[in-house]
Amino acid sequence: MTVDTGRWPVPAALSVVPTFFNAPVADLEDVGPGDVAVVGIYCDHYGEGEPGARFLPRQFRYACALDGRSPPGGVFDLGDLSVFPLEPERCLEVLSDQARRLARTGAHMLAIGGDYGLTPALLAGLRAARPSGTLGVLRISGSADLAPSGASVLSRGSASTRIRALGGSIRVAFAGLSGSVPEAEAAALADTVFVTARSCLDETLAGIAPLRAWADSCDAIYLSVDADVLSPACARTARARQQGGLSHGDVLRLLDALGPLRPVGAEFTGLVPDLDVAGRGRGAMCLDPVEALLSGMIEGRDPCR
Amino acid sequence: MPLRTAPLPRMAGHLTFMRVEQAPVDALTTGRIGLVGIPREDTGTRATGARFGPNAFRETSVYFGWHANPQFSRPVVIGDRATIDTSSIQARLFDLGDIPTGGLTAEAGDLLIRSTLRQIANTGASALVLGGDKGIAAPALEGVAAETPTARVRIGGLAGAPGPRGDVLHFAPHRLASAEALPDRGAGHRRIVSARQVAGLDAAAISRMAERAADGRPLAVHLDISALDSCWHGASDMPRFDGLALSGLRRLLTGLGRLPVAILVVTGLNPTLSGLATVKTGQRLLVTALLDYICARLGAPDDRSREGAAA
Amino acid sequence: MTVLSFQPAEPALFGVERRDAARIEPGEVGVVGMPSDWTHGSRIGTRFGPHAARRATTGLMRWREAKCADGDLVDPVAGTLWRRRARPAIRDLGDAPIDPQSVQDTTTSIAALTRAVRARGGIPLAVGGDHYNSFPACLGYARGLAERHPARRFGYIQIDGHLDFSDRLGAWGTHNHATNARRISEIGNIVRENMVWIGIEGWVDGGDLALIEEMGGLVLSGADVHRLGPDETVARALAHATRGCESLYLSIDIDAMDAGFLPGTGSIVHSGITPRQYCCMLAALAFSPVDGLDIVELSPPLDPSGRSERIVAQMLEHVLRPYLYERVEGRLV
Repeated sequence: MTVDTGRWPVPAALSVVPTFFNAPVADLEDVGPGDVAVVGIYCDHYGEGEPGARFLPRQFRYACALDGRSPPGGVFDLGDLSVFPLEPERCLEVLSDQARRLARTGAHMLAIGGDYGLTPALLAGLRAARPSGTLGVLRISGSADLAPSGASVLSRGSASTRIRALGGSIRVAFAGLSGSVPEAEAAALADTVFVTARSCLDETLAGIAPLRAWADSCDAIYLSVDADVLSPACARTARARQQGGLSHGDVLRLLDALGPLRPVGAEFTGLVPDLDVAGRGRGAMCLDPVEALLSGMIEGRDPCR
Repeated sequence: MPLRTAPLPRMAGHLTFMRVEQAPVDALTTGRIGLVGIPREDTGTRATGARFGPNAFRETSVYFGWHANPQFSRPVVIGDRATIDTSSIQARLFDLGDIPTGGLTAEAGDLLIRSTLRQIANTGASALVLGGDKGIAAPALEGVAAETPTARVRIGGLAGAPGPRGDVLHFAPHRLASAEALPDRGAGHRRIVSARQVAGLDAAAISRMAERAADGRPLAVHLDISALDSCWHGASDMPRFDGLALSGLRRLLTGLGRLPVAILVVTGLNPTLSGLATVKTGQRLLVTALLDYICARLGAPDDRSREGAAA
Repeated sequence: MTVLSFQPAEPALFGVERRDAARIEPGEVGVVGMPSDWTHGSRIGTRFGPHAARRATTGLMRWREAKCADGDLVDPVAGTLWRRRARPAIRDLGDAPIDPQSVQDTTTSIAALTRAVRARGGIPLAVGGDHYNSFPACLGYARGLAERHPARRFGYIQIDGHLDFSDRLGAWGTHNHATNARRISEIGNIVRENMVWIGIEGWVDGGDLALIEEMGGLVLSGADVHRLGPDETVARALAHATRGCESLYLSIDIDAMDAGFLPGTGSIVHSGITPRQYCCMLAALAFSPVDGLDIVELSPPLDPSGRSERIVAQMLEHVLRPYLYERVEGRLV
């Protein structure tokens, strides 16, 4: 990073404050079609469990600074989205609006932090900007969150139901389900493509074939990964999970096996990181899975852009 | 059009110092303050972690991003009812980022620090350097001195033999029971002012003392967290119980900040010590003191009205 | 043989009896836990505060029992003797249900419990939780007071490092840990001009400060505590807060204490107020007309050493002294 001018080297650039993937800081006017706009979400009030996922964007940025990996081209850190954590209706509205305006630039959004309860708001914005075609939402999580309704318009437990209710051609599929499914959700799950965590642990991953077929039937994919798909030994999450989840390696293997999904948007939710200014701990542990999401989005770029 | 149309929660987003703008060095001019982090430490010591100091300072400083939030009116210092004018902060204080010393040898890192600080000094702006351990101070001060002769002032750090030429004052040195332990050695040697003596000085007296010692040169100040008494925090590697209270440090930085200061280097904060309790306390302590320095540097109009209460 | 004495898994505050709100007797303190930090904007963890306070106060009483078998205690500062009550006039109601997704539901839940206690003539003690929860605690207290004494109004003292008088805090809206005092000032039977703040430190919003002083409130800073001393500070506060009032609500935010002593709280300040000064103020307030109170912002995860919760136990012991101990006549020489 230095230009050798003899005795007094001059730094080509001072490093900026920590950013996602050490990528440049940008705003709407800086991004365009095919770019990946990484945003943070500082809100964890609707995850129906322990708070703390609001800190993931900060800890993830610290982890990237510590890790020091170079940013891929076309990836930008757009900061954190505006939220109103204690005003659910307003929060939904402002999240949808930001997702819509970001999608209109042609850039793909990768959201880090927050909880799945906010995802329907993001998808509503994405769908408003790009209404055509079939959008497949692949949810990689320990639970389906298909409750008929929740305590608020942002409740996580009914998030998948609300995504389905967005209308248009949106299809939701699940990977990594574990534990029991509430009776109220069983019927909704019955007509849905899903694979369990156990199927994902199978060496051959033969059980994920229905997911591949489902993905092929969609025009575009939104990939939503929740930390609760991981074993409790691997992650502290908003919801306490029973043993039987996946490891980080299992998640990476699953993403790899699903093939080039080329998601038009992705998110990583539900992880409660350690609060460590050094960027170590459980925030750092999600670097690779999130980078895998990013890689998939980069692969999906139009090569002629 | 910006992505965000509403205020962010205080701790969200990019954590620049006090939420000021990031800027390159060439955005600086006379009258501005360029803040730069130096995330470097000697990892061979028994306690490591000071390299995370710059981000720790930034994280805590966002509590004071008043100027960036239109909902708030002007802050008032409740102790003496002085109104703080934050209107110029956004226009005159810039976060330049960190000097990328990672992976460099000590010598190469020193060179990079020297050259960066020389560049900043060359703009006429005042540098505010967040360390890092005390090893960053020498190259930073040398970099500024290469551009303009300075009078060095130390706050905290070890007392001992007289310092290098130009080191004119040493406030609250560590391991010094009283000022009488070392005599004032006259011109060419630093004058020792113990923490106890600082307790009896107001900001104006500190300004006069430093002005005399500087003899027309701008100040180059090195503040190490070891200046502070350990009963107020736990964020340094070496405890002491004859140090400054926050009130003393605030008066010191206010008094010095009113004079021409080419550079203030802050070192020694280790934000990775023993969990969140002591860490945040030490960070907040130093940031609170730095606010007084920044307000004094930017010439807050009501600043001098606080004199009586500070005394 | 050593007999091990185990504490219950969920101790009550000071190890007192548990009781339903409907069975609180007049003059008894009814403890309500408020395990919520969803309304705090940055450093969370106060949802564990009520449990930590119960654990630390129970430990403190066990220590007292072990060290003072005859139940007599000496206050060396005042030179007085005190005897532990065989049956402290304190009952623990447990925790109010909290809904992270609805501030309104949490508010209703807490207020219902403190209302029930005050309406029966008891003294609600709400244990937080972040400082927002002080508003529902006081709201319930005010409603209960209105039921029991329809003509009575109350004064208010808040010991705190911050004013908490914002009308709205950016992204956090109107009901959060920076707006609690503002919302309390809007309660119908409070005397707004009798509102007093003690221990405020650092930068405060000039507009909020001006509003408080325009309405007749009194703000005593941390520096005032040092200048006046704890006894004189409380004397001035009480003189202001009880003008024409028989009732007084006390909100204790532990963050008024210097963070060097008490780091286990979310929004730290460097006031220099020491544990001794804080406890002296609470001891003085223990014999004032306080008939409703809360203590908030203890965040155990922020202080793994546990000293913050032990200091809180001491603070509660001071402010609840008349309910835990009875005075023994005579003075020490």
